[in-house]
Formats: sequence, structure tokens, C-alpha cells
Amino acid sequence: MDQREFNIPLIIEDPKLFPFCDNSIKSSHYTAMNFVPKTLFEQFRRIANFYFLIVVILEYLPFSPLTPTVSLAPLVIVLSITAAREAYEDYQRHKSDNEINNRKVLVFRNNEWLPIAWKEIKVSDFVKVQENEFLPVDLLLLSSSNNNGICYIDTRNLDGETNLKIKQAIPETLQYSNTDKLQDFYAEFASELPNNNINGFDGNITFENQEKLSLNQNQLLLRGSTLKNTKWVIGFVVFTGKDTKLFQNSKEAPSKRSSVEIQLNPRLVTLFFFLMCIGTVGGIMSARWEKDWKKKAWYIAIDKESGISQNIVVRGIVGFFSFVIVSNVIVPISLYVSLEVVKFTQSWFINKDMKMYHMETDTPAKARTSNLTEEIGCINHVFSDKTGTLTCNIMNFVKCSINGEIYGDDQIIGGEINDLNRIENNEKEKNQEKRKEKKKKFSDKNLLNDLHKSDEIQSNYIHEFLLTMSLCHTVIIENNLEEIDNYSEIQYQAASPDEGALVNATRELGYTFIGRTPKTITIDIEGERKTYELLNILEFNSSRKRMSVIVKDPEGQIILLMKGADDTIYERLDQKNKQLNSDIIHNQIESFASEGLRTLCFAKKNISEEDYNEWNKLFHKANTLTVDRKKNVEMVCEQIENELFLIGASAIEDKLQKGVPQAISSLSLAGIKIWVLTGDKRGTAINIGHSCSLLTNEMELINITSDILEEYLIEMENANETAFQNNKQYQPMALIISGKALRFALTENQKLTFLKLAQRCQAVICCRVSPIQKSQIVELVRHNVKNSTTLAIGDGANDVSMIQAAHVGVGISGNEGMQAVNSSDYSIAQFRFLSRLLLVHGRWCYKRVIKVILYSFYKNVAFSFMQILFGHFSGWSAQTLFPAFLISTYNLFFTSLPILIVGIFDQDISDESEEKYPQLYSCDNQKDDFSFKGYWIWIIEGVFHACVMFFIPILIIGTNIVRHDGKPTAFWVYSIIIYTSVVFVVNLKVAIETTYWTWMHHFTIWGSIIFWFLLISIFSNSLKLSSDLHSIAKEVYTHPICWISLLLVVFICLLPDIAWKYIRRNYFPKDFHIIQEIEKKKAKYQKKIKNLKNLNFSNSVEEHLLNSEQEEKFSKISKMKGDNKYNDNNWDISQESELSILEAHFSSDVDLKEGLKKRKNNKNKTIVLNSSDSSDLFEN
Amino acid sequence: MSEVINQLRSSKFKQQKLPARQPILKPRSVIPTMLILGVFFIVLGVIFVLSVDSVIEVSKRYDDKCKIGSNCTITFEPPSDMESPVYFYYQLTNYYQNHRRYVKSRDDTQLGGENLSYEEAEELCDPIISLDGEKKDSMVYQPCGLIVWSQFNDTLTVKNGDEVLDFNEKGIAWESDIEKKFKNPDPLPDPDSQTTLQSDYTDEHFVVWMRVAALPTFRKLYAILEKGKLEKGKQYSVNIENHYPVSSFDGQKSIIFTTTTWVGGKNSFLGYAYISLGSILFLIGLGFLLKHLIKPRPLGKEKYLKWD
Repeated sequence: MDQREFNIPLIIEDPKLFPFCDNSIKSSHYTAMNFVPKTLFEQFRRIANFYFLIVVILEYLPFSPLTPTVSLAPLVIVLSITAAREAYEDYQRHKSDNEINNRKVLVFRNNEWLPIAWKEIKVSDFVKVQENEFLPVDLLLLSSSNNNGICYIDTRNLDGETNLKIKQAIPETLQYSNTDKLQDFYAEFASELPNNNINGFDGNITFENQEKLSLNQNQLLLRGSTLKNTKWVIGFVVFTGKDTKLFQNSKEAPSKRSSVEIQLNPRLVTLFFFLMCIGTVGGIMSARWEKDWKKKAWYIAIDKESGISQNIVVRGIVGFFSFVIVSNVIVPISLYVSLEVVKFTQSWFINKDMKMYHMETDTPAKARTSNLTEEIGCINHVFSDKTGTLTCNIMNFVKCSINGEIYGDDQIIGGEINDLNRIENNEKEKNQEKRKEKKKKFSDKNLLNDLHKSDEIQSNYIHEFLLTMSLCHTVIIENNLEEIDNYSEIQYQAASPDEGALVNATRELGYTFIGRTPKTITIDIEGERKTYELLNILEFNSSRKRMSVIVKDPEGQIILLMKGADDTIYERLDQKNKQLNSDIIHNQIESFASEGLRTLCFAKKNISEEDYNEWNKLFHKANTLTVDRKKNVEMVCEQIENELFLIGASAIEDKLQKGVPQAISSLSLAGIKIWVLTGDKRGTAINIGHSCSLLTNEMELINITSDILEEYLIEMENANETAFQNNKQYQPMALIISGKALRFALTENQKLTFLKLAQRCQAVICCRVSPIQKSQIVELVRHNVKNSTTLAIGDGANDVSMIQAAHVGVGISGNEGMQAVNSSDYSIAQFRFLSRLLLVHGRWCYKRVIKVILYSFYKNVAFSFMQILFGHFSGWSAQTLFPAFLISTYNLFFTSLPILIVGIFDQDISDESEEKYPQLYSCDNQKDDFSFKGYWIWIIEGVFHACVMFFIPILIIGTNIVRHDGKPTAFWVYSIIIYTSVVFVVNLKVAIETTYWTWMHHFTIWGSIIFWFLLISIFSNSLKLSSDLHSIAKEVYTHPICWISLLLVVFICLLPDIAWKYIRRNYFPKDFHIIQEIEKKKAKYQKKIKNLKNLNFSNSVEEHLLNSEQEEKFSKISKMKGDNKYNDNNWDISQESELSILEAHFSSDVDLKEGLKKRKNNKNKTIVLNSSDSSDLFEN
Repeated sequence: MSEVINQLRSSKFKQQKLPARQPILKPRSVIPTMLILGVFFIVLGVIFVLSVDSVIEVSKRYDDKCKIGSNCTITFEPPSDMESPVYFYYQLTNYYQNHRRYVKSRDDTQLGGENLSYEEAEELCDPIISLDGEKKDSMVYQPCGLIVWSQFNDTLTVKNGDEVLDFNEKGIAWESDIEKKFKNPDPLPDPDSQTTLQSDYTDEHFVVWMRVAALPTFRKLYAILEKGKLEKGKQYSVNIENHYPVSSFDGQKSIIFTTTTWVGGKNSFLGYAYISLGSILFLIGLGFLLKHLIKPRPLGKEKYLKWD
């Protein structure tokens, strides 16, 4: 069955057999009953949690050296933290589900309108929705408060588009607007099956004894949208609950894992392997030891022990498990929790960063997932959309070519539409003011002169051009015409900014669009109202790349007016009567494009009444199909959209966003390859490439444009020859490829050649690409370039697939709705924030997360490795070196907080420097830290520290007498001395790794150490808590030998570390070392200046000088860095600008003293009086 | 709105601008620290060596000279005068008091003076639980467990000729153990009963034994000479009632007499370890200094950046 059919009213005897789903929704995952099992199941799917579960189970075995509580406690804590979070989130979901399910709406029951809860609504019910109410179901519109059955809906929640959409009932159902009529309603209804296509719907309705009536998306009001500007609508329910388009669309976004997280597993596996080694060594050795010593060591009475087989193999296996259990801490249980906390905080910092806050639209940056914080630290490919991402998506009608004549050459004609009203903003008034400011009065005298000139041909062309512009669109008017006195107050609602710009421009030129009904469009031509009968709208979509309207003008002539991309229109021009000037216009279009303007062509065609009627029948038939309607409609449209007559072309400017060139050059300095994927023409794309400094003058451009396979292959061959010439190794290159050529490039056997060429180039621009190609390109790079980490950034619905395909998707929360943002991982308001997101937050996060992971490995290896060393001294009996509860608290109490703080706050260099030196952000550099080499360095350091911490106390304490009162030491004394040194060494290791000391670092690092002493003194004062450790603190810490050994251990452990760090910094410095030093110098310099300023003697003079100097330098530097940064973030200006002075001093290598001397001299020259006493002081 | 924004802007925490120190390892601070620390450690090491040098230690193995079950006499001669206090130890080798089964085979509540039921004893004292393995409360060893059962039972008496020296066998255990941890049960266990492995739980030799050693070679304090001294050149003898079998595990038994200083007994490793660490620190520091003097790298110059 590929159709859904039911009668209205639908009468079902047994409610249980109701064939359609109900309208209640359930977004919660758990119920009170299944919460515990389900959440446990989810959590144990994590390999680390499962591992600890196994450990706990092993510990229940009789031979286990540890009691289960030791591992159970941390596991329970970790699980309950996650479970608590889950429970809270699910509670919120339950709450909102309930709220939604119990909302009331008017439903026609028992011949009257009753308020009914949403969840009670059933398919075929009549529902009445009032203004500003949410649609509770997918509703088929029958009638509305408007006589024509028109209503407006806001689909923001559905597709994120903020412009109002018009829906209109079919005329045949308009009568069903009151209860009496509805009582008599009887019809058969058929529709497509539930699907996720928001912009399409096929259905038909048949009233008794009448013809089948076609229904489409214009009659379907979707759940989740809001009714606007309409008092009420009545409709019947088509889809409920999870059948609605809203829920059909709410697919879970593909969950993304960062590459660090993926790489974490093999490293964890190495740790498992390591643990297995410990177990195997322990098992073999313990079997051997027992075999040798069974008879000898009578005092252990091995043969008397009950319960366990004496078989050597069994003993070996028991030994294996015993060692696995005592060393289980080697896998850091707290790592996942720490990582979650760290990443969550990073995301929070991203959300709060005011330097990524866009004041105009009140949009902060938003991390929509916290999984990928470290991923943005090593991006090497950025795929960017152009319109709305690099540009503002604020369209400006700047030029046009009418019949080969270019108008508006040097100045802006037409208004600028600013779509601020589409951005949710509380301060609407303010925006309107802004909008007025941006509107420039039209002033192209030539065009108007020509229009009114006697030269009829040109005048006629201009008239038709303006007519097409003002008729061929889907713009609607937002405000009520009766309330305004002036056309300039009309607010247009356009689905695309281009349309808005065109309609606004025609208003300025005297052709004002003043209203539409479903059957008419009214325009005001220089004071004269004219109403055109609207026959059909052949809508725009990305494959058609054109739209047309068929209207009947007041004189009764049927005209088809079309606008669209030049290639689609040129294909459809009248070939028989080839226009002489079409080539001229084409050249003009090319020149518009090369200036970076977006072009649209306009064409028209007169249709005879008969032709139209014939065609309209076909069109109507195609529209009433329920199967393959779209394809058929397009085919029918083709039949009428031909033999066109070209009128002219428009050129619309889409301004670059602020700061884009700076951001792009930052990103390329950072070693990131930038690919611009745009639907624009090649010329436009190249031009934009130049203006956003993606393409530079030194670059050699490689063009691949052919649309025939053979030509493409030849082009590729040539391109490869040029690109890989030996003498051109260092020649920067850029590749420009068209959508048609991309079709070949993306085929299976061509893609690697293409990729190789693309990798050779510094910049790649793909023009005229379709949305699906965008994601194909991303996937091509993602899967075929080794170590690639891709980021896709875009703002429109056409970027969604690319955003989801890339490792990281970034959405621009701009003008084109929220679809891109909703499927993205990060959303920012402007492209320029991308550089800060990557260079600052990404880099920090990566460094921090890596530090947390590696350090967690290190500290657990160091801790566990001592166990196997001790095995050798304890007859391989798996005796734990430390009391059991100290093993379980090691990760929890003494070593987890400091690294967490480092993971949250560490900054090896400041954000200013990160932005100033983008080169620091290099994926390869970053990945170095987490390479297997880096990993092994930490592991080996852990082993080394374990050896030192174990053997030094043995050598010092060992069998010797170590107390001045001659009393012997004991096992637990030794154990506590070692534990103390572990706490010291491991925490001091964090201290060494810390590059940014805030009070919190001090608090946690020293706090952890102090806490250890606190805890051990509590334990040693209570026999009940632990009899082994009774009075241990006194017995250990009151004797100097403990401290002497501690000092030795700490220094031996950390000396190599510090020495290596010193050598590396001073003799093999990495870039960040040097930048740290530069920062240090700056800070010092700044302090000195501050001190000078604080000397009150020369305040005024100094400040005056400083200020003038400041302003000068400031303006220079702000120009350099992109003025936006300073305009947007004018906080800290004083500080920043002071730094800029310092920067200047440093860059010119002027010594501090010299600088001051110079200033002093200046001052003496300029203000002699004031400085008479100050100069003395200066000399001191 | 703007207020919220301003608050956000001025929040040093949220903008990640908390006041912080960013120390870096500069030659100016590292080299002097290394040199000073090096010297400091060398001095410390020398002090340790000198202190330890003043310690006199005499050690005599006796298991090879004495048959189990017999009484023997071992003589020794102090190399120089040993001023009191002189500590008298016995030392066992190859003895794994730290074996897991050995360490856990005890019940601290019982040693703290409480009577155990069979089940309680079974839980912790395995394999030495009750006489002949009978599962009765009354048959539970007092106290139970391997450690108690394997108690060292040689008797050692130090003599100068025929005169028994005044070696005190009290004050050899930890005060806290005697005062709090070990308590006699009520009623006192019958010393003649076969279930009684130790009749006085606060006996200091017993308490010392119960603190298990960390390594398979260990010394336990036996007695202390609190007054007088052991004189150089005099022959002292130790009378040994030799009960404790060690030959089965190739163990050795020795007696040790030693004096102590503030860092303990004869422990030469400590001093040399410090001297070596100090020297290494000093040498590294010196190396850094030379390198810094000969070919310093000026800090914070942009020209060192790789991309320049």
C-alpha cells in the first residue's frame, strides 16, 4: 500500500483497532521501571566501565587479593554520576512531553468545538487553531478566517526559516467554516504515506458525487509551526504523532566522535596489554615460586590452605588473575569522567566567550556538542560555503543590464534589503531604524531618463525589466497596507534575500509591489495601480535554478515572466529568432560576475490563450498526481518555459562579512587548507576568492571547467603537469573547478587524481556545486587524505549534508534559517569567529584534553607498576603494596582534581598570541603530542617514576635500622612512605606540566597533598577504620628518614623532567616556548610602564604622550588585524593598545631604556614647563 | 541585555582571564637553583656519611653454628666502644613475612582482646584457625593465624663472661601497639592449653613479630642496652636457645648489635645517594651555565620562530 486512505468522518467501532498512531509524543528514553537496567546497559557498553565491572566480579572470587569494595566504590561513583545526569535529562524530557501532550486545542466533537488535549486528537478530527497557537498535528486546511482561505504560518521550529509562509485552502472547501457545515462533511481522502519531506505533499479529496480534488503542500499545515496574522483556521487531521512531518524529520544527527577519542581506544588497549603482561609475569612467577617454596616455607603453610587446588596450572591462573586484580588501577577509571567534565567546561567557555559574541544580532557562539572540543584543535581542511558564510547575505541591487545597456555603473541603485527583521530580536524598533539607515535613496538618473525617454524600444525594455522584477517573485507583505501612508514603509518578507533586494529595488524605481492574493498581484507603477491576474507560479528549486510566473496583464495578454541563472535561461531562449544582443548581455553578465556580483537573468514570453489553456490542463493533471508528482510537474513546466525572450540581467552585490579576509589568512597561516564550495558562477567565486584573500596575486590559478569527460581528462593532465613541475615546488597554486567538471572528478577512478591535484594547491574553489556534491567533496577528503580532519561551515539548508559529513560541522546562525545550525556541532554568528574558535579554543582544548589523557595514563602506570616490582619481593603472592582503600582512593582523592583543573584552565600561551601567531596552530604539531611516541614517553616516565619510588625507599630503609630509637620498621610503614612519595611526585608532575598557575591550581595541587596527610592522620588515629594503619602517621612522619627519602625520591624523579624541559626550551625551543618568552617580556615591559605612569609627577604629560601614541598605533594595528575585532570588542582597548605600543617597540627592537629616553626627549621638547621637575626624577 | 553582556565581559573566569602566573624555566633562575641545590645535597650527603660513620654495628650469623633444639653460645668483639643505647636485633633472611597469605592471616580484633567464634576466625586466619581443624569456637587458636603460629621462638641472652648484661626486653615495640592495639582477652588464655599459641598478647617480642616486615630479609629488635657500654676488645657472648627452623627455606639467622644516630643505623647508601644526586645536579647546572655563557639563546626573539 503506498497510499493512505480514510473517510472523513472516520468511524471506527473498536478504538483498539484504530489504524493510525495517536498524537502523544514521547521523547524520553526511560521510564521509572526500566531506568536502572537500561541506563546500566548503556553505561556498560563503554569499554572502560565494562572492564571495571569484570574487575569487580573477579574480586568476588575467593582468591582475590582485594575486596570488591575497592573497585566497586569508584565504579559506583562513576556510574551514579552519569546515571544522575541521565535521570535529570530524562526528567526534563518527561516534563516537556507531558506539557506538550496535555496542551489544549479546539476539536470538533459532538457537533461543537471542545478543548481537547493534544494527545487525544485522532486522524480525521476537525481541529480549529487560533492565532499564535501551535499546530498540534499535520492539518489539512479547509477554511480560515480569511475569505480566500489564506493563512500565514511561521515554520521556525520546523525548518528554522523565519519568514511567514502562505497557505491557502482549495476553493471547494472554503464553505466548511462553521459547525453546521462541518456536521454534513463527508469525503474520501487519500494521501501519500508519512514521510519527511517538509516541502511537499500529495493528496486528494473526493466529496460525495464530485470530482477528485488535488491537494498539495499549500493546504498542509505542519505540526510545530505557528499560526500568524490569521484569526483562526479549520482543518482535518492528516498525520498524528510520529507520522507528522516534524517527527519524521527529527532524525538523530549522526553522532560524531573526535579522533582523539577514537585514538584513545588503541592506547587503552595497550594498557590492557600491559596489564595482561603484568598478570602473565605474575602468574608464571607465582606458580614457580609456590612450586619451589611449597615445602620450604613452612611458615606460610601453603599445603594447609583450604579451598584452592594445589595444581601448578591452577595456581598459575590464580596468580594471573590476582596480579590483574591488584594492578587493575592501571586503567584510569576517572579518565572518562574527567574528560567529560573538561570537555563540558570547554564548551561552556566557548559559549561564554565575548570575543565570539556578535553584538548586532545578539548571538553568542554555541557549542552544540561537547564531544568535539579537542577535534577543533587540529583541523586541516576547512570547507566553506560562500553565500551567507563568507558574505553577509545582505543583498544589494547594484547593477543591471537591460537590452545590452548597463545601468548603475558606479553607484548603488535600488535599496538594500536588510533582513534583520528575520532575525529574532527583541529590539525591533532599533532594527527598523537601522534598516532605514541602510536604505539608500535610489538615484540612477540614466535609467529613469531612458525609461521616460521617447526612445521607445529601450523604454519598453526597461518597463518590462522592472515589471518582471516586481511580478516574478514569491515575496509577501508583512504589514497591513491600510495602516501605512507611504510605500517606503512596506516591509517585504522574502524567502531569499535576492528576491527581497529585487523587489525593494523596483520600489525605489517606482514599480512598487503592493500586494498579492492567490489569484492576483497588484503593483503600483509610478502612481498607477495595476492588478495582474496570477495564473501559475512555477516555483524555484535548486535543480531548476529558475522560477517563473504566468500572469494575465490588465489588457488580457498572458505572459510568462522568468528569472533564473544565466545558463538555464540561455538554454531556453528562442533559438529561431536569435536575439542579436544576447551575446552582449552574456558578456556583461560575465563581467558582473568577475566583479563578484550575483547575477540573475530575466526573460519573458507571450502566450496565446489557447496554448495556455492546453498547457494548464497538463499542469493541473500533473499537480493532482499522488505519485511522482514533482518529476511530472517539472516536465510540464519545461514545456512552457521555452522560446523565451531575453530582457536583461541584474547584478546583486553580496558584501563580504567583516573580518573574513583576516580570518582566512589566519587560517591559511595556520596550515589549514580552505576549500570554498559555492553555487555561484566561476567569475563571482574567483572574485570573492580574491577579495577575501583566499587567492593571492602570487598564486597560479588552475582552471578546470570542461563539461565533457574527454576534455576534462586533458585539462587534468595539463593541470597535473603544471602543478608538479619540479621548478615550481614552492609556487603557490589555486584550483578552480566547476560543478560540471566535478561530476567527473568525483567518480571512482578519477577522484584520487583530482584529490592529489587539490592537495597540491593552497586553495580550492568549487563553483556551481550542488548540495550533494558539497558533501561528496567533504567525504572524498575525509576518507582519502591521511590524517585529515575536516571542518565544514555553512549557513543554509544546502550545507546540511556537508556539515554532517565533515568531522566538525559549523553553522553560521545567520539569515538563511536555522537548518544548518541545527545540524551543526558549533554555531557562530560570523565567519570571522571561526579563526578564534579554532586557533584559540581549539588549540587550548586539544592541548588540555591530551594532557589530561596522557597524565591519567602516566599516573596510573606509575602507581600500578610498583605492584609488579613488589611481586618480586613478596614471593609473587600478589600482596598489595598499599592498603586496599588507598588503592581505590588513589584516583579519586589524591590525583584527580589537579589534572582536572589543568584540563580546564591551562593556557600555554594567551589567546592574543594564539591569534597573532596562527602558525602555532598546526595540526601536525598538535598531533605530535598524542602520537604513539608521545604516549610512550609518558608511559616510560611512569615506569621510571615507579622504579625510583619503589627502589629508593628499599635501598634506604630496606633491612636497615632507620630510626634513632632503634625500633624496627614494618611493612605498612614502608608502604606509607612510598604512597607519600607517590602523592608528592604525581602532584608535582602536574605542577611541572602546568603552564598557567591560577589560585585554583595552587589550591588543588597543594590541597591534594595536604588532603593526603589529613586522611592518613585520621586513619592512623582510629583503630576501627584500619588496624593496619593504626598510629602509622606518627610512626612514619616523626622520623627524619621518611622526609630524607621523600626528598631524594622527588628530586630523582623530577630532575630529568625539569632538565629536559630546560634543555628543550633553551636549545631546541618549539614555537610556543618562544612566544611564552615574548609574552613574558611584554608583561614585564607593561608593568614598568604602569609603574612609570603611577609616579604622579608626570601623569599628565606621560598620559598625553601615551594617548597620542596609542591612538596612532592602535589605528595602525587595528587596521592590520581587521577593524572588526576592535569595533566589536572595545573592551580592554586600553590594555590592548598599550600592548600594541609594546609590540611596536619589540618589533623594532628598541630597548626599553632607549624607548623611555626617546619619550623623555620628546616630552622635554614639547612641554617644557611641566617637565621641569619630572625630568630629574626620570634620571633617577 | 547589555548588563548581562557586561557582566559576562568583565568576568575574568568566563573569559578565561583569571590572574595567573606563567613561570618558565629561564637560565637565570634554573642555573643558580641547580647549583645551590647541588651544593646543598652534597653537604647533606656528607653529613649523612659522617653521621653514619659513627655508628658501630656487629653482626654474627648463628644458624650454621647451632643445631635446632640445642643451646649454643656465639661470641663477638665490638670493634670499638659501643655507648648505650645499644640495640640488639635478630635478623632472618629468605623469610617472606610479606607474602599475601601470611600478611592477611591474622585477626586484629582477636589481638585487641576479643574472643572469636570459629566463623570469624575462619574468615581471616586461614589456614591456622583451630586445633586439628575442628569447627568449634572453643577450639579456635588463641590467637589464630599464620603470623602468630610461626612466631620466632629462639631465646637470646647476652653475657659478658658469666655476667648477664642488662639488656632490656621492654620498650622494643611501638608504644601505640602496646597501649592500644594489643590487649589480652578476658579470661586470659590458658598457657597450657594446646589452643593457646600466645598467652600474653602484650608481650613485646610477640608484638614486634606481629608487625610484619616489608622485605624477605628483616631485622627485629630483641632488646636494648640502656645503660653502660660494650667495650672494645672485650669478648661478649650470646647464649642461644635455638628452636626456630630456617634451614628448610635456606634462611639465615643472625644477631646484630648496633648503635644509632639521628638517621638510624649503619646505612651508607643514604649519604652516597645524596652526594651523587648533588653532584649530578651541580654538574648539570654547571653544564647549563657553560652553555649559557658560551652560546646563550636570547629569550623571546621572534626570529627564532620556525616560520620566520
